[in-house]
Amino acid sequence: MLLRIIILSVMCFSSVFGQSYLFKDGRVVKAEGTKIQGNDLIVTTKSGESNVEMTFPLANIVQMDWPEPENLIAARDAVKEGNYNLAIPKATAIMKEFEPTKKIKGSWWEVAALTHCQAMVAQEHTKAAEHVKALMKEQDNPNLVTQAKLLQIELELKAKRFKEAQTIITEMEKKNPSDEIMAFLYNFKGDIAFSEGRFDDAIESYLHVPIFYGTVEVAMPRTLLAVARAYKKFGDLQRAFRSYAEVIDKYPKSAEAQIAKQEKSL
Amino acid sequence: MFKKLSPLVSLYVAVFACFLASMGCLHAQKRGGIPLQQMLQEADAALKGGDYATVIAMMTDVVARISGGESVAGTNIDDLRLMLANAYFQTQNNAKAEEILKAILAGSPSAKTAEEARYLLGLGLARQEKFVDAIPIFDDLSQSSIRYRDKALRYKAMCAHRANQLPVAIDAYSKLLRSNNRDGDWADAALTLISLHIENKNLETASEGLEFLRKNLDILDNYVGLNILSLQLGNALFEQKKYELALTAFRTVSLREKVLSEQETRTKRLTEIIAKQESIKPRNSEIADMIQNAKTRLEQIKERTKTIEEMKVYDTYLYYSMAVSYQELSHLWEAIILYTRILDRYPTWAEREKAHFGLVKCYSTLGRISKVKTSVDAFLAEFPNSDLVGQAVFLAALAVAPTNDTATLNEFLKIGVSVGASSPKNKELRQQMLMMQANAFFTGQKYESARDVTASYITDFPDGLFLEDASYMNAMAELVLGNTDKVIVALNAYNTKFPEGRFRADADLRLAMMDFVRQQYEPGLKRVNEWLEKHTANHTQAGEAYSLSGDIYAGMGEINDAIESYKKALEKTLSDEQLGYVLDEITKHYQSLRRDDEAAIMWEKFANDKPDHPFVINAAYWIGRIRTREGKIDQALEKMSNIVSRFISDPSHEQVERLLLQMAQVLARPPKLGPDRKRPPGLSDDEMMEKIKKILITANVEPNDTSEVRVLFTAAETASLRKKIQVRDDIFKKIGQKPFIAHPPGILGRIGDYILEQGNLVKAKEMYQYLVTRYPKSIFADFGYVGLGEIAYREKDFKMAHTQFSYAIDIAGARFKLKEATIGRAKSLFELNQMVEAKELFEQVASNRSWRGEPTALSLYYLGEISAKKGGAENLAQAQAHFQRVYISYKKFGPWVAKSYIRSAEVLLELGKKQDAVNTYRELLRQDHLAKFPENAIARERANTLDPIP
Repeated sequence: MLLRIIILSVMCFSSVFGQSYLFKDGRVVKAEGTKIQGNDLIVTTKSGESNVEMTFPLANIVQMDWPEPENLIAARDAVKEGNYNLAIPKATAIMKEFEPTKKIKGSWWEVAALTHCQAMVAQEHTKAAEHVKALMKEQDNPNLVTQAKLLQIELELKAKRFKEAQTIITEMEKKNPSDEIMAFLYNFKGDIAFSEGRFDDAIESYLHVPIFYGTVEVAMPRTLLAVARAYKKFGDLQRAFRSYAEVIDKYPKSAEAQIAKQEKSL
Repeated sequence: MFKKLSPLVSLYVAVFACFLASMGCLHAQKRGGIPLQQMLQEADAALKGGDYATVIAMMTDVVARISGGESVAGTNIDDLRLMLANAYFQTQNNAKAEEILKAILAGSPSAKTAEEARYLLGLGLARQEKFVDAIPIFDDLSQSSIRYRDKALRYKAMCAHRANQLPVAIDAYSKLLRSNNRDGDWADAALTLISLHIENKNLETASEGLEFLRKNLDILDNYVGLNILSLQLGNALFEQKKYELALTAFRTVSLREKVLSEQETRTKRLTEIIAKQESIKPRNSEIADMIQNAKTRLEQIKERTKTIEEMKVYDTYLYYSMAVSYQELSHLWEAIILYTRILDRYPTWAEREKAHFGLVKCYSTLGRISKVKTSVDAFLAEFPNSDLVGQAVFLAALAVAPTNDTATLNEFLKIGVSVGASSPKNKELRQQMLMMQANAFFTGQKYESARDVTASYITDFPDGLFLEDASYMNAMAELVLGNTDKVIVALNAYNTKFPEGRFRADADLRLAMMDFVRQQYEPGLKRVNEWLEKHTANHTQAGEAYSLSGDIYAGMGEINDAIESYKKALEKTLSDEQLGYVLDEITKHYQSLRRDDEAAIMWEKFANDKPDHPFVINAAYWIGRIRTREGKIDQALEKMSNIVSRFISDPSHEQVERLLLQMAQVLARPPKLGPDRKRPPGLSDDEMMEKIKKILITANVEPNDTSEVRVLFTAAETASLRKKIQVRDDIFKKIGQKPFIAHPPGILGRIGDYILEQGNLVKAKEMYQYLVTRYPKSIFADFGYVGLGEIAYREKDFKMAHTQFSYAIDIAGARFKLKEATIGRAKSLFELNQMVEAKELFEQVASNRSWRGEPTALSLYYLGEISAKKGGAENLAQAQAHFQRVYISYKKFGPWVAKSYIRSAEVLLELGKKQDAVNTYRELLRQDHLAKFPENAIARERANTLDPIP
């Protein structure tokens, strides 16, 4: 291990307190500031009165523990609020920042990449499909691939390729997915039924989410809005308004709540 | 984290030993040969080795010797006694530990020693189930010791719970949980607190606690306990009718498989922790206590896990509880999903019929009729004898009743009645079902069935809840069926049984009506007058009574009195049907007395008084007709125009067309003869069009496409009446180019027919479809169905054709197109080879005198074809007779005559009558008016073939 004081003009992490790194040999290094230079991580720590820089090969790091970057928090909030133009550049910046560490457990690259893709898909960006495909290639990260498949289903639905969407759904259902995944799959099945004019089937699909997967909060605003629309189309206006009110009351800052406010008054 | 008791003691001993060693001086006193410090060392070693018996023996001796005056420098007797007490504690000799600890506390121990002694004392007391004594010990400790605060609170709570001091226990647990030391013990305490809240009916607080715990699942050992509590909470909230909160609790409960799987992981983890703790030597009281708590917790978990393992209905019970909660909240779709899941996934659940019932109830309440049917069918298939079937079917019937699906309604009611018949529990239900059935039959115009069901009710339930309704409906059914004698008997029976009944007034009026029907006018009039005297002038049926009075007077030939009665009726409340009847009767009678002017005045008054009433069009019609007859053409047109212009732009006012036809008749009348007895020329087509526009589009009209269509229609009808067919057709073409939405239904049908005649099937089909879709209840809807039927027939889709023709009659009532619809049906059935039904219809058409003409010829022809298809000499002879009748009696109708000749000849040939066949062909050829038909060439060829002309 070399102790060096180096003036660096390389890409820097934002100076964040509370970072720590677990190495292959079991050591844990806590840092107040870190930088990446090539394939190395330069960690700054205090030694007495002075700061000391230590260099570690990235390949030796097993896990990193970072507080969530503010820009990423902002990006995810922006997605929830439907502000995709704000979300995309923020998420992109975080992706770039964490790109060298993307294979390290605890890196924020995965979350940033997902947030980025979610925003692009929601915005119906022309390159959304390309980015989703890229995520699906990350085969050593099964969680990321699963999330990418969900985004793929969304893309298929937006393009009205219902059969293709259903194929992915069926394939995912067979793999005993988590509650969160099931919640999304039921939403998608509801979307397909809705698009085919089978509003009662759509309602029943959507309602599987609050009944059986009610703890999956992330899926709820979308579900409530979708079921409100399905009730409306089916002709059950009372229940439609109730669902609109629920999404507005429980998730007031969400993009779905804003849409609900408009649709409720129509 | 916790500081250990024994290391502190050990430290004293170790430091002392070092001190002594460094000083090289010991103040040891020997007793029994073993120096005290040696005994202390040995005791320490025994403590580390977990040999508490040795510790006890050693320390008892040490304490006794020090109490006896010996001393060991650097030691404190209280600490040594504490060590002894701890050893007793470790060996479960709690009484002895208690004695020693109390002795320590009675003295002046140091703060630290006192703290530890109190803790140990409390534990000892708790172990001896002296919970009430332990509570103040722990309470004091929790307030005075930072080190022991959490433990003391926990034990205080546990002791208070055991001592049934629930508020104390809750308070202690609440304070404990505010600490940040969240571990397995903390989670266990949280569960216990929640359980106490449930026990104490603080359900909302319990709910909040569970919610919080679910967010800290990683520290929770007792996962199965959490789920059981959630279920208990849900049930408790349900019992309090707090369904929203109950659902929140139920939704947090995991399914059985997940509970067992999660618990297995946690149980394994806890077992490992216990083993690890048990391996620690020496073990102080805290560790011992921790192990004990963990073991107790483990036992509880195992017990609860076993309960869940044995509870095969855990999941269904959960789902059912959720379903019922949702149902109570009127979240019926959610309830449906849960009931469906139970029925789909748990075929062996003993209470499936409850789920079936719930499903039927939810679908019925939502009015999802097709699902009501499937759910009832499924219920009946699985539980045909269930006590709940009657109720389920009743609910289903209630749901179906408002729809037009009488077949399904009757099916349900039939089941409901027969189910109710067998079960005494459902006696009341059966009565309701019978009455519902009777109502359904009556509304569906199945009066015989309604009569039979009500008769059955009256017999079966002589004191039934609905006896009055059943009795009266029975009488009304007989009335509609025209069984006058039976009506009178039934009404009199009703009046006898229910002299002050709800239907008494109506019954009396009906009896008067029966007198009228039987032409017993005097008694009838007497009854009516008695009725009018008995009931107030504001009675809802006063108008009906006066109307009946008018009928009776008219029957007696007293027309003036009849008119006066009818006029009185007009002053009262009348239904639209009654109003129309009375107005028409007055008009008719005025006309019979040649008092047309009064009739016209009556209608004019009506139009003035009720300008928005639908009959105002009728008023315009009569005014126009009467004034025209009076020669007051302009006045007639003006009156009609004043009324019709108010509705001319609204396509939904169907009666306007009737008036326009009337106006066309007026407009088409030739001009009156001039003084020179010559008839001046009529208006030109353009002048007529201008006149019509001026009449119909008055200043108050906002012209639109509909008003334009109506103007054109009137012009077309006028041209038709003036025998200007080309002009009519040109106008029809213009109308056909207007958007459909502008067409009133009557014109849609008429123009559709024109376009069909012109051969444009596609456009005609569009118009007809628009008509039946946009105006399904219009009196002109039969135009649409008949048109669609015709088109389907031409396209050889005979099944569709039959359907459409049937709709014209069954749905639209075939007010204008009954003939066409009947013929169309008959022909379609013929093509579908349903000869029996087809024959019946053709015979109906052929025998209808009002349709005499081409329909008759057509029908006879088809009857011939039907007979011919049967084959055999007799049938062929019958066929030949039909064909012959056509060409003998209906010569006017060339196409059918020509066909009939050919078929007649063919049949004669089949009968072996070759010469007759030839003669028939030659007869056709002799008819000049048949020369243009293709059958002419056929006849010529065949005649020449069979009997060549040399």
